[in-house]
Amino acid sequence: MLKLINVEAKYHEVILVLRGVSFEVPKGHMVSILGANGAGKTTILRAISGTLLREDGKVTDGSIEFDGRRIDRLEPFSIAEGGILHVMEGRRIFSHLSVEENLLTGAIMHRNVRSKKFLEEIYAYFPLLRSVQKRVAGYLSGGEQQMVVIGRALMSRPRLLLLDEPSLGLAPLILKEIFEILKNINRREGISMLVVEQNAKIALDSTHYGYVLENGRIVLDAPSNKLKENEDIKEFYLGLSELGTRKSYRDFKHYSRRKRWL
Amino acid sequence: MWRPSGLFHVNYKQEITFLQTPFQKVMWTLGLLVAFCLPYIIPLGFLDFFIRSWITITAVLGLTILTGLCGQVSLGHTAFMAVGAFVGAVLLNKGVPLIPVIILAGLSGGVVGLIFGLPALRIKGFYLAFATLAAFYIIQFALVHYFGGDKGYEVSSPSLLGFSFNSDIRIYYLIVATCFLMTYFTKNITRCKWGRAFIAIRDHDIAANTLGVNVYFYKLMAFFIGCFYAGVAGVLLSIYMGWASVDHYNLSKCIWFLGMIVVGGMHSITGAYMGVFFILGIEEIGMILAPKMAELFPQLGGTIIGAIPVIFVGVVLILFILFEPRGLVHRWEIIKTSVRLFPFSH
Amino acid sequence: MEKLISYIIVGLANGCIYSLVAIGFVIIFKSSGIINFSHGAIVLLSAYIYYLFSFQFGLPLGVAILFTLAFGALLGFSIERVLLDRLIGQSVLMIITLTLAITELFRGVMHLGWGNDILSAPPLFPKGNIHLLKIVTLDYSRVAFLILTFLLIVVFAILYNKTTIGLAMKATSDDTVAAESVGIKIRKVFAATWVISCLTAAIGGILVTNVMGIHFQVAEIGFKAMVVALVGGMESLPGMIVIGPLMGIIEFLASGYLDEHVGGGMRDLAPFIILLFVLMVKPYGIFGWKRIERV
Repeated sequence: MLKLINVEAKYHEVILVLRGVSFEVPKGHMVSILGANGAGKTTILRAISGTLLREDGKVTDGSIEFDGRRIDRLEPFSIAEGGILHVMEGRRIFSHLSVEENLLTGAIMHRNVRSKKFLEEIYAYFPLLRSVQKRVAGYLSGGEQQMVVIGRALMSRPRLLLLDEPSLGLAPLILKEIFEILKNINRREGISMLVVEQNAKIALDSTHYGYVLENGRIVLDAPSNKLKENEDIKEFYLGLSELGTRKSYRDFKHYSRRKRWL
Repeated sequence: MWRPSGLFHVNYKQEITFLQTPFQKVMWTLGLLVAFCLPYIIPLGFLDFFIRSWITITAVLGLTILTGLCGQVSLGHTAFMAVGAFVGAVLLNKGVPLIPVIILAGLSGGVVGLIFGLPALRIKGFYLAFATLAAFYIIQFALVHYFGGDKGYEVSSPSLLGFSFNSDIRIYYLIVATCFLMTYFTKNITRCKWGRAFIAIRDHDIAANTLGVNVYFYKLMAFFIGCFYAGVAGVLLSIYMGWASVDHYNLSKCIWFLGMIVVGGMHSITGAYMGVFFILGIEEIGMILAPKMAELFPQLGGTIIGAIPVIFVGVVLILFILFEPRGLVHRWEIIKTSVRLFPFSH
Repeated sequence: MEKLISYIIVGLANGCIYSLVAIGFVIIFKSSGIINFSHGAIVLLSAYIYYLFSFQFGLPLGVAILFTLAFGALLGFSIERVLLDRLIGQSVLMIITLTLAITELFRGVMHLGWGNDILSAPPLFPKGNIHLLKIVTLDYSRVAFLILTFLLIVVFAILYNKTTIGLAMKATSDDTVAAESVGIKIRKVFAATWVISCLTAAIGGILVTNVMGIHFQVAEIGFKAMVVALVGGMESLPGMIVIGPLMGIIEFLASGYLDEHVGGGMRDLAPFIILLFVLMVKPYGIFGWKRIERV
């Protein structure tokens, strides 16, 4: 459904962030991209949704295809109209509007949508939001705001949802709840999802397939359950080294398993 | 602070030296030389332009500290100039010596600025801009109705230790000296604790508060210092003009000051200098071209003389904000960098 | 006592002028978060343009009004297209300076085109007055202001709260990038806002010429209208209905009772003093929304 082929992206014409990234999100799947800070994860999502232009960035090489059509030169709202919705990093809600108004903005794109019906569906997925319907969104907690943003994206009936670090600043319990809901939505509505995450555990637990991004390159990819078993991933992203061993100071300097892909 | 790569500081003393690169040292020396020799290099007809420029630079430096450095948008700067001008005029006419007059004029401008800066403790952004606009109108009203502002005061020529400033050239030197002194103060402010506090407040005052910066104190101080400069500039203008009246200190000039710091580059002293010279230069060009345009379009009548410079400046301001919002300083930095990196691109 | 009542009524009527102009100013803020300092200048420019069409070209009044409105719409559209495009995301200072620069430019143009004299356009309304309650007389122009202001506010209230476009405008002003990411065409929102705002300014300009002739003092109305907008709160249109006339009343009361003590001029000063006091107590205006900032 979504294909990135050798995408290269730069900021301010000099800062090279993505160095030839290629991956695929098949229809109906949930795919995750893992990586540390600065790897380029947000840039990938921005490149897909077109908001890269607003940050003085550009896709300088390669192509992004959605359902066979190239989308890398389109304006953000055209991409949104095409069915790709970007849930941005840091939960960009409309802080002065109420929760209900926030959700309704998601439906603006589709002129003749019957918003009330859609609203009910969103409340069915996020029961927590029903109780804070009329509250001003800026005063909600982080978890509630994240739900609002996802709900807002869902209101526009996306075919592909791009989620940028949904776990940022959220408590573990609410995190589990949100990802359960996401899995639910993926299963019931068939909406494909591309989740970019630092929290490798929850990402690999919830998605079908995973890619690992380092320094602007995809270095590893496998189905999520295989990825969880991978020794390198266990050591560097899940923090699981050999059980029961203490790391001596020497081990900080010399990794027992060297990163073989560099 | 733009510094070329390769300039490493190994201790704090190096970091806060006044002139950090050889280039800066050369520019300052050259600048001082040129400024002091100016009356003997250029035809005396141009002296008026430069005198007005130095005075404006003094005022605009104050605005740079207040708005460029500390982020408090101020639309009423000329009102504080007027305060300084009036206080200065009254004191000079009473025979107070020159240097105390200038200092007192500055202080009066600063104190009034402090009072009208109190709203800044509660208000931010454009609301504050309006509050300063209100301050402008209130001060103007007070000066006109209570201090004889509409008629104004004639200012007698001041004298310093028997040396009387009764010619344009002598006034020029007084003004240049004052301006350079104020520039020196400004540079010192930017490189010391106060300057850093101002910048922190500009960037995010709530965060600065959590880091221990006393936001209330520094905001008020920014107003005090910025309006001190305005007061000094005001008294200098009234000395030059020989007359202190509110007509010299109008709202249009406030807008131009703001334009000067934007065109020049908001956050630096060099920017203030560039912006002032550029905008005043455009105004001069406008005034020179206006009679010629009046001949070409006679149906527009005599109003053209006053209107053309205003239109020129307005257009220039708009063009700069659209195409070079970081100001002339930014262009200058790019030029310097590409020269330094020649033949590589910057 | 009669003086008091007459001050109140006249102030009320004048205040409606402020309300009408303030609406245009608030609309732009509500939709794009931009403070348009040049609003007053646009009102004045529209007045001059109306003068141009109705007096200098001698067109029939209806046609002149139509052309002036068209000019207003076109001006709004051009300003948005040419200038504001680049200002998405710029700091407050830049926007303030830009709109102030536009004010200066317009000031120069108007000075160039029409000089310094006070002009007057052919009157729009018959010269009569309406007598209310046997105490008060309001001339037709001021009644027109009252009615138009009220109508416009009702229209805009419906727009913002009930329509999709209104929601799009509110969202855009809150967070432009987020609005774009949900598919709102922010360029269209901005363009529509400016066109509407300048249309309102044009209407204001046409009406104002009837009340007080055309000269630079009219631009001061722009500033006073902005003060009304700030005191009322930039997010609240209904606030304009209340605060505009209120400000007018305070103005006249101040000038009526205080002018003799201070030698005149209180009428122009009073709004600014009120502004300072209100902003100290309620930094975002009486009906304004508190700014939600997270560190």
